[in-house]
Amino acid sequence: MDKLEKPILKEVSAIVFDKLPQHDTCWSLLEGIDGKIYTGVCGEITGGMSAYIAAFEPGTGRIDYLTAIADVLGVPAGNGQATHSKVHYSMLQDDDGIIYAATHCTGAPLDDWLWRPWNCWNHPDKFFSGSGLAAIRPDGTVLFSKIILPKEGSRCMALAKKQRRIYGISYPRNHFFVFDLRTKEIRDIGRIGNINPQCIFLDDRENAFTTDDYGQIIKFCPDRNEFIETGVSIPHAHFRNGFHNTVYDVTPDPGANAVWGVTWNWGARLFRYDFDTGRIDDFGKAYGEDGKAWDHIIHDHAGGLVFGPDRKLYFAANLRDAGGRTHLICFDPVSAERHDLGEIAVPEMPCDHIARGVCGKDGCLYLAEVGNTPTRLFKCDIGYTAKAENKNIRTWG
Amino acid sequence: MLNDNYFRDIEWPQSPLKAENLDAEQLKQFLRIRSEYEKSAFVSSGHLEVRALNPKEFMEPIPPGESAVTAVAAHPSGHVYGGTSGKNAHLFFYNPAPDADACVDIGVILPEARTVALCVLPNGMLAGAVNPCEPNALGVLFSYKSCAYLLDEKDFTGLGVREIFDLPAEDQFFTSTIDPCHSAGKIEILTSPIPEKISDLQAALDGSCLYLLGAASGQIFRCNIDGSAVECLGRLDPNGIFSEKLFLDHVGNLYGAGLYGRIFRWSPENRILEALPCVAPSLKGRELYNKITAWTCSSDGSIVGGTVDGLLFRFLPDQNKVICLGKPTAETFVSGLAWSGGKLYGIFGGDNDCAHLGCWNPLTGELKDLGCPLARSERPWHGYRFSCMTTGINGTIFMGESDRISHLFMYFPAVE
Repeated sequence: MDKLEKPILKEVSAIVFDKLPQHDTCWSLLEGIDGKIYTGVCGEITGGMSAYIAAFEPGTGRIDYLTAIADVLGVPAGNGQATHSKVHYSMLQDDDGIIYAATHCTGAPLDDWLWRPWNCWNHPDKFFSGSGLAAIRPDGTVLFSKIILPKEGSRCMALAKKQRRIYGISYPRNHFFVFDLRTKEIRDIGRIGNINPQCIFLDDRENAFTTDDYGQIIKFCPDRNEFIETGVSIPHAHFRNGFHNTVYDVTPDPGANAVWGVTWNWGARLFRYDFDTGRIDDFGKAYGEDGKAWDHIIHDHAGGLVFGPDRKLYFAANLRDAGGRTHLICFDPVSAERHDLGEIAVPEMPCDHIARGVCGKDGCLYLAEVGNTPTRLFKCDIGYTAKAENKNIRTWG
Repeated sequence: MLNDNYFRDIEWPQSPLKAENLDAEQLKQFLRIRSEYEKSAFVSSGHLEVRALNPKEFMEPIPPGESAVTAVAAHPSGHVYGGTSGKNAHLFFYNPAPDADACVDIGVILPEARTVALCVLPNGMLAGAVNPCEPNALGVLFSYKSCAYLLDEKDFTGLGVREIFDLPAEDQFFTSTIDPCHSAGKIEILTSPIPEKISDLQAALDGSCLYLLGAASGQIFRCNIDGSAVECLGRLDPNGIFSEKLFLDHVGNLYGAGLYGRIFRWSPENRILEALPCVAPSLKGRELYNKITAWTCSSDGSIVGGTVDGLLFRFLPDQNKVICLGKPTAETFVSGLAWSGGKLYGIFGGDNDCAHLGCWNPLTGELKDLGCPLARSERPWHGYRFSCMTTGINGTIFMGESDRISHLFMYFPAVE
């Protein structure tokens, strides 16, 4: 594959989920084994809706809606309960193409616009029935579904393919769970903290990693069914003490048993964590100057980490100096140089912020947007026509 | 796969926030509602704090999986002692002095075990019960002698000045500017006095004996402080349907509950276990499942209890009367009760809930749901699961959190 002399952003276009005119967020994103881009189209501000699993075919530009997840779970979106309107970082795909998607909560009941689990835990109507996990074929066929976390949502998950397990974290009570794909049983490992991590990531032996309340990386050892503390912490902004510094988005290093990640949220920092050595490298503020104090999330957010065909790390960052607008950043892992490639926007509506990113088979980056109605993916043409082979496939949300 | 027809007939709901031409008053009200709603579930009256189960500046807390606080006891010294459950059952104390204000891990009572009860004896010693997790293992009694107790017993004969100088006089943690230090006494494992696990433990007012409840049989036993001379006083139910908690009132009568929550009394004078014509209240139809899950007694001797349904009741033994006070929260299962400032506080909710703190004011009869415990200091922490509660000497209410990662919660009721 030809390498461009310097990274560019040739063109940005939007893939609009216009069949869902009230939906407003896309959190999860994956490139399927069939080359399609899959996402969960979610609705949080408008009560009484279901999340939809949708697929975009880069070659044809076709959007398919596989299924309405509330229907799959047998909990109608308009039944007055908190809705299954959100699939957060809990959508995964197995080698056989089966997609596992689990629902999260925060979507309000029909006619409401605000909902929190603490307020409605035992409410006779407005309670959340609990995160439902569905196994769906790419043609929309549902293989099974099950409520796995009564009253709680699933904030993030990872798929340990060899072990046939899904790891996840519940919301709001922050329990780590293990779902056995063979027995369809769930095991509660217990509460891991107060702050809900946004990502679980795996090493090549399928140990599961996430962070505690102070940003320390904790490792779940599947053979012992328990966590160990690694003693390694993700970096944080200098004006913070590490509390509430959790992993936001993490992507595998394409050539090593390591990951690259960004933290959540003020003063989001870029880091690399090497599983073999236990070493963490802090690459500073994801993009731009370090602030001196906290800021609104919309001015200081980074997500959508993905390696491009050129083996450079791309991500989206909301830049304070650009009025909080979302820009595509290219980071060179060799030189640690960063380039602002320009705004991720289409004329009719700027991007709000980006949650996750993937590289399509066409060499373009696809980014899941959060915060606009109707909701969209952004397609960023960075000058390549095919993706690079990558032995380290992301198996987490 | 969903086709066009699927979408054609959908009437999408509309969010009031997305309505066109909202006026300023509407927008302001939305914003105020949101602001209030976000906080409204949490305790907003009084003040809440948590303490890790070790001084955070010097020690890692008792590890996850062994920090669940399942028994607490307030000591006349002002210290609050707690026992944990899990991979190791620990004993710890909280020293409320402003120069301390921290929990200190005293040590492991037993590995793979659950602390079920702690009580303070008149001589200042603690007695406690732990159950090993191993299914066939028997419950174990232990004692704890504080530094103050050990000092009283100390024979100084033959000791040098340095040895004497280093002897601690009290269980303490002290954040000196020079040498931060702590000291704790000794845990002693006594015996397995009964041929089963122990459900609860109470100490006689004069400290002459212990009362134990058998976890399988529902039999009540009496034994010496060291676990010897065990005597069965009777059983709460022939079929083993009973409440797991015992209660000792301010004159030394012991209470338990059997089928339907029927209250039993054993008094040192009568020396018989008698079934009283008093039954704890339950939701209709749930009588068979009724259990008294918490008891407490005010300084004037008023006895109150809480049930598995989340109901509170007042028990008037002199009148053989039970008065249902009601249910302050939507949660079931009263995990702990304690008095402070003339009001009764309770913690409500089972293992799968988000716990709520509730309150009963005996003067007005008002029941109040105070909300979910959320503390900011010494670390931000939501409390979801609790097992026990007690009142400290200054009216602070201590709640034992019983999660994989747990803390000692402290509630300072609002002064009215």
